[in-house]
Amino acid sequence: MSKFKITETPHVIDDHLLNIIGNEFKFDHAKGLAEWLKNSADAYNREEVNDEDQYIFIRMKQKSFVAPARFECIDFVGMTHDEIENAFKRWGDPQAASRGKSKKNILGGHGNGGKFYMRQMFAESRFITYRNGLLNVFGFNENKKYGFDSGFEKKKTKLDRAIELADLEEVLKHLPRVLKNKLEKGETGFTVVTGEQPDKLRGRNNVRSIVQRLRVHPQARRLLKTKQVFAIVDGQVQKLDVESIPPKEGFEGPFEFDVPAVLKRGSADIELTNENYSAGKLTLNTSAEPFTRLGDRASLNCIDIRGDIGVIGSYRMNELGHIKNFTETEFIYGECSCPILEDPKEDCVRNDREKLVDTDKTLALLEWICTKVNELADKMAEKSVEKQRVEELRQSSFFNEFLNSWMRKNKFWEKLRGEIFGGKDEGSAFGGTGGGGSPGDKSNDGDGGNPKAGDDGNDGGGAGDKKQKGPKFPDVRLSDVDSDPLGLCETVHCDPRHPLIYQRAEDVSQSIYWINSQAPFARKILDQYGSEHTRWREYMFQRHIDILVKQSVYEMERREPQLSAARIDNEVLDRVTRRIYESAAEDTSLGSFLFTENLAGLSRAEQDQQVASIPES
Amino acid sequence: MDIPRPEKILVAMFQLSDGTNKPLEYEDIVVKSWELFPDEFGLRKYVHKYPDSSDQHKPLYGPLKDKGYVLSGNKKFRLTEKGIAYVSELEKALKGKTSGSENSGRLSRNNETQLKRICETDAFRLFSNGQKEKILDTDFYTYLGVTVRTERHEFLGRLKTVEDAVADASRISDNPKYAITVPLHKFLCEQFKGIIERNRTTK
Repeated sequence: MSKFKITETPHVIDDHLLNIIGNEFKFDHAKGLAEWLKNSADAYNREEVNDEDQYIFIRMKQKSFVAPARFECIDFVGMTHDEIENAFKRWGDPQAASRGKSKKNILGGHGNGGKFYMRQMFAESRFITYRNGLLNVFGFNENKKYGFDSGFEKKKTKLDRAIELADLEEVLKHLPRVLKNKLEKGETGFTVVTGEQPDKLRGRNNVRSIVQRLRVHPQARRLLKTKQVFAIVDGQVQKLDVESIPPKEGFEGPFEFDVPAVLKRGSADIELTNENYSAGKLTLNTSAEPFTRLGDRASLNCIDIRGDIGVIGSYRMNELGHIKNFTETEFIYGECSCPILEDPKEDCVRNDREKLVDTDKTLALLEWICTKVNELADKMAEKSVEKQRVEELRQSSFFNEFLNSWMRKNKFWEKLRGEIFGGKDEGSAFGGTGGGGSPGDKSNDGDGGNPKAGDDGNDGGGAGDKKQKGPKFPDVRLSDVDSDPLGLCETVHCDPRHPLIYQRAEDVSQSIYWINSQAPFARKILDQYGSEHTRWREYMFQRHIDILVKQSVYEMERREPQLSAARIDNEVLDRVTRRIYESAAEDTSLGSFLFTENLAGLSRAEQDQQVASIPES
Repeated sequence: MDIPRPEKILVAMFQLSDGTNKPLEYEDIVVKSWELFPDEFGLRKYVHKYPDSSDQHKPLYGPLKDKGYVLSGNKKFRLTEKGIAYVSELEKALKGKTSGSENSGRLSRNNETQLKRICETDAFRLFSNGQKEKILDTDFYTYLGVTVRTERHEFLGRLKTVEDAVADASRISDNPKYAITVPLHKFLCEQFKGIIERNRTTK
C-alpha cells in the first residue's frame, strides 16, 4: 500500500471529450434514427407495453422557405423531470436505459447513441416530453450544451396545449382509440425528440433514402418487425415494415449452425460457452438478388451479432475475414447469437454496437462465421457453375437430336439386328428379352414358343417364323439438360462417377439412354473446348455408337446364354462400329455435322433444317 | 431321401453338364430329369413311358433363377457356380455322404469368390471410407454383379447369392474385411430398396 491516501472527488470532464466520443459514432442518419427508435422502444418496454401496442413515429420534414429540415421521433410514454435528471443527463451510464428496472428487453444499453445523435448531427435538438400533466423541454443548443428550456421545466400544462406545442395533431390521427384514451386520462404521456437542421443532408443522402436505409438497418430491423413504427415524410404516412427477402432458388435455407463450444485460435482454445452462457447459433439466409445491386439494401449483406438486448454488432461480409467467393457472398445474410459475448467480464460489446470489441473471443467467432459463409458461398458457386454448364449444354440437345435422327433414319438398329441376329431363321429361340416362354405352342411354327407364357419375356420376340418384336430404337438424351420423357423428374442428374451411358431401371424397357454430361472426360472437353466444338460433337457420336454396341451385346446375350469374347469381338464390336463408320463416311449430312467447325447459334428453324437434311436410308 | 422338385431338376442339369456350367437345352433337361425321377416328371398315365415337358419350365424360370442357381437365355440353361456348388453338396447328401460345406466351418469357394469380388467394388471402398452417401445406384448393381438391364429373376438370383455369401461371412469368417460386408449389405438393401422392390414386383 502506498503511504498516500487519495481523497475521491467527482471527475471534471471537458465537453470536448463528448466531441471525441461522439465522432466515434460517425453518424449516419439512419443509424441515429435507429438509436432514437430503440430509446422509444425502451420507454415502452419499461412500462411493459406489449409490442403490438408500441406506436412510434419518425416524422421528417424537408427544408422549406420558412423552416429548416427537421427529424423527429415520437412515442407515447413520456418522461418525468426526475428521469431526465437521473438518467438522460448522465453520459455513459450503463443503467441509464434500464432506469434501475430489469434490463430484460431494454435495447438502449448505455443510452448514449440517441443523445450523441442529437448533439452531433443537428444544429439544435431537443425533446418535448409530457407526463403526469407536466411538460419538460430539454435539449442541446447551438453550442452543443444541454439543459432545460427556461420556460418549460416541470411546467404544468393541459394536454391540449402540450399537443399543440409538440405539433402532434396529425400524429394523433394515426393512434388507436385505446392509446388516445390513455393519453386523455393521463395514464400515459408522450415524448417528441426533435433535431433541426440535420447535418449532411444533401445529394443522395436525402430524406427518402434515409427512411429506406432505416428499414434495413441492423439496429432497427427487429423493432420494425415487432412494433408499430410509422414514417411521416412531409405529411405522408407509411408503416415501416421489414421487407421480406425472397431466398435464392435451391438455397432456401435458413442454414443453421451451432457455434462450437471451443474454437481454436492460434494455439489457444477459445471457450464460447460456459455454465452461465449457453451455446450460440449462426443462421445464414440467402437472397434471390445480390444485395450490392439493391442500393440501400446493400447493408443487409451482413452478419448481425445478436445479444439479449438486440444487435450488438454488425459485420459486412468483407469485414468477417478472408472471403473466397465475393460474387456468391453477395447473396448471403444472417445473424449469430453468442450469449457469452455479453458477459460483463468479457467486455466484448462496444458503446455504439456497430462492431464488437476485438478480443480473442470475438475474433475467433468472426473467423468461424467467415468459414461458414465461405462454405455456403462455395456450395452456391458450385451450383451456379453447374447451372451455367447446363445452359451451355442446351445447344448440345440439338446435336443429340441430330444424332438420334441420323441413327433412326439410317435404321442402324434394325439393320444390325437383322444382320447379326437374323430376322427369320430356324427359330429355336423363344421369349424375347426375358428368354422365357413355354415351348411348342400351337400357334407357332417351329419351336419358337409363346412369349405370353414366358416368365419374363418383356418384349416378346424369338427367332421363329413369327416376326420378332425386338427392343425399341434407342432414345438418347443428355443428362442434366434434356427433359425426362417418362416425366419422373425434370431431367436426370448424373454423378461424375456414373458411367458414360446411364440408364435408370425405368429407362430400360423404353430404350432410353442418358449420355452423362457430368462425366470427367465430358467435362474436360466442355471446359476446354466448349459445347459447340467438333470434339464435343464427336464425343456424343461415340456415345451413340456405345449405345448400339451395348444394346447389341444384350441382344446377343438374350439369345445365347454363354457369350464368347470372339463372338462379341466379331459380331458386335467389329460389325457394329464398322457399319456405323462406313455410313458416317458416306453421309454428307453427318460429315458436315461432325466436321463443320461452327454450328453454333443456329436458330430453331435452321436446326430443324439440319435434321431434315439427313437422307433416309 | 426325397428332395423338392426344383432340386431334382438341378441334379439332372448337374449330371447332364458333368458338373460344369455349360449351356443345356430345355429338351435335354426334360428328358434327363424324367429318366432320373420318372414319378415326378412323367406324363400322367404314361409316367414311365413319356416325360411331361411342362413340369420343368416353372421351376427353371422361377425359384431356381431367383435363388441364383440357374441362368437362362434363348431356351438354354446353365448352372451358376453357386448352383454347381449346391448340387454337388446335394448329390453327396443323396448318396448318403457327409453334408455340404454350407454348414461347415469354412467358407464355400463360391462364397469366398463373391466376398473377394465385393471387397473390390466401389460400394465397399466408399462404405469402408465413411463415404456411404456417395454410393450410386450403379455401384449397387456392380456390388451385386448385375446391371440395370439384368433380367429380374437373374437380379434376384444374384441378390440371393450375395446375401448368402454375406451371411456366411458373418457366421464363419474372421476376415475383418468380410465383416464390413454385413453392414454394407444392410445399408445397400435399405438405400436401394426401390430397385429391389421393382425387380420383385415387375411382371
